Amino acid sequence: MLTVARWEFLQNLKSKAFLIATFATPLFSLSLIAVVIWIARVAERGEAVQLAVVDRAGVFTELSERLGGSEYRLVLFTGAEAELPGRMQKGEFDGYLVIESDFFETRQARYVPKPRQGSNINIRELQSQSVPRPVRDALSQILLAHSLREAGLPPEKATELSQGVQITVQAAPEAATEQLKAGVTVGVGFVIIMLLLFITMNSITWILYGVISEKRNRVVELVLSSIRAHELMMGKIVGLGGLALVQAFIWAVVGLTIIFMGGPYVGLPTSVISLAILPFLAWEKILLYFAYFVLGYLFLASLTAAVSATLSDDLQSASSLGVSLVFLPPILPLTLFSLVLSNPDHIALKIISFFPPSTPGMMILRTAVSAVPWWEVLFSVVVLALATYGMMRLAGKIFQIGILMYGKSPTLRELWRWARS
Amino acid sequence: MEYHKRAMSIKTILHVENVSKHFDGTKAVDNVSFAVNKGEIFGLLGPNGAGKTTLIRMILGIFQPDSGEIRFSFSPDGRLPPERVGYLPEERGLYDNRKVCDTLVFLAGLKGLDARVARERALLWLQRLQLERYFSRNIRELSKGMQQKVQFVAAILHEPELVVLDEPFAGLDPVNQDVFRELIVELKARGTTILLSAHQMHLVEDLVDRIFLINQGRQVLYGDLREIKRSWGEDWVELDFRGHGEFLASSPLVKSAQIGDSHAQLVLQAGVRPEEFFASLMGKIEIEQISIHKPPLHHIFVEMVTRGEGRC
Repeated sequence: MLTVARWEFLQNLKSKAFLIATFATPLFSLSLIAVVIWIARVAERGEAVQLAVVDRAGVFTELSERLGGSEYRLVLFTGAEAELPGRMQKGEFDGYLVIESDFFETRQARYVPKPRQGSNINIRELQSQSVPRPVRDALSQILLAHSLREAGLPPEKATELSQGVQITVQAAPEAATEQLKAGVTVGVGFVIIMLLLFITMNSITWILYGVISEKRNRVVELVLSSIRAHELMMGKIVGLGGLALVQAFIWAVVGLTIIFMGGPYVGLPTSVISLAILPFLAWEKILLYFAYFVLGYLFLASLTAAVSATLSDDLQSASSLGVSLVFLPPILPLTLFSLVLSNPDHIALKIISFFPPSTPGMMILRTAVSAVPWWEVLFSVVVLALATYGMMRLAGKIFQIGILMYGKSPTLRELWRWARS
Repeated sequence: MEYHKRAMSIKTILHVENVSKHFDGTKAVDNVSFAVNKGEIFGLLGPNGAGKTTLIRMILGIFQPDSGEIRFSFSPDGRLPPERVGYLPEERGLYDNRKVCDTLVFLAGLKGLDARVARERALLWLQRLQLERYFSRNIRELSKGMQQKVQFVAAILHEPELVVLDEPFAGLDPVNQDVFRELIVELKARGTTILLSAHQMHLVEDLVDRIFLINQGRQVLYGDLREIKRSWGEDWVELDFRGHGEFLASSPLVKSAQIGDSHAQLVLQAGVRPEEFFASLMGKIEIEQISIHKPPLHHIFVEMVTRGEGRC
């Protein structure tokens, strides 16, 4: 069995598919995320919105000063107002502002945005559609400063008093850290499940394709003349499971490095991340998760080996219904993530916790977000262990017969007979 | 006395006793018994679907017999010691996306052979088969014939005492058939016992020492090939002649005849000795060429099956 495990481990470790899955896929995803963030940042920063100002009240300089540092660029327009719509069409301006000479009496100004063209949505166009708030605020401040000067205040004092209020949003420090920590803890729990699920899914996919291709290229007969079928099955399960662990380790190291190094840039201080990850580093949690993972993996891997041994020997059949049934239950807990967050003790979730293929995912999620009673944890581990033992025995029998059947898939009756043999 | 001495020196390494196997109500192998002796080439012969592969799979422990027993004399408990048996399956196949050397080392590793030794031996064998440049290449780069040679190497790399070759000539061109025949003869010369299964009997009948002929899961013939042919009685005659050969058709020594102007194919009556027949031709025709030989195994097999009887 160890020879098979070593062979599967080393051969797949060297394969291009593994290298791509381990390094290229996460790199690709990360670059994709980076590009999305970059685009969002660029869009957020936006290009400056060009506004033409027809200033008949002599406030242009003051308005420009007050809007300094914002995304609005003002251009004093001294030509005929009638030219402006045409020049906007040419793309010279995104809108124009008309400040009449009686501005200080009427306290009114006009804003004409550039008409939207086509159905394309672009941030710059959207920003220019409504009356720009900073422009309105600046004009209000100019009016206030004017009124203050009229009331006899020195111009500097009037300008100073007319400045708007700056408010920065900041939550109470203690609460913020706690909230952030709780959020990150749930996030880390989610990531752990994703990671375990990924490992399991990856290795059972390898098992699936490995068994089918071994059946297809007929090499299995040669192997079975040297070792028993269940040894071949377990060798594959152990070897490919080990391979998946290596992959997970690489991802975990890279992932943690990114979180710790990138966290501060998105408002997650290293101390908060450390505090959030700490609960997962308790030895009893590690042991529990390891037990869930190993048992869950053995259950699914045995089931997959048996199912793939019964598939007819073409790779297309790998997409059959039987295979979907193997893959669905482990993913189920993730689809119920929001319910787990809001009500981790919901009866449906408890039932799913004791359904062996879903047990690891559901229990890891539940224990990450709430305190699950110890008896439930223990019971779930026992149920999972018994189910895994049964599945391994059953799968061994089905694998043994199925792996040498070429060309056709067995009927359910045949499967039942094999299982009882 | 001589026979007895020979029998004493023969060591049986594989016993198959009253073995049966059925699938879905069909008997694939029906109460079959035979023994394979050390150092011989044992032919397991029969048409396609006769039960040969099922029998081989049971011998190799891939299937378990429904009844009967299979024992190996080189293990104390009679069980199959995988490291002492090599196998070339009929269902040929190798990992197509792996290197030749890695595959050979892995398969030898399953037989308990150290990786370094396996690598050295694999290289020697590939050199012998002029495939050394493919040592580190991917198997999918090899032609079908080359792959079959690699499979042959996989069967013998761990130097087993018994090699089971299931239809080794299937799918081979005549050149490679000769290469494989040479390899089989070479293995025998090294003292390896060979269990050879084939449905094309003409390809193996000059190779094998003893045979087990199987049809529809049952024994048809079993024993020493030369003994079987000798006991068959009838000799076949190929004759080129000058003169009038019509008298041959009515000769009491001849069982059946096909006679042309200058060529005749005859089957002699059982028990007629070649010299007796030869003497009967003297003075009647001018013999240009004559060959008297035992009928081919294929003929014996067809006769046995059509008669529906078995002989041992």
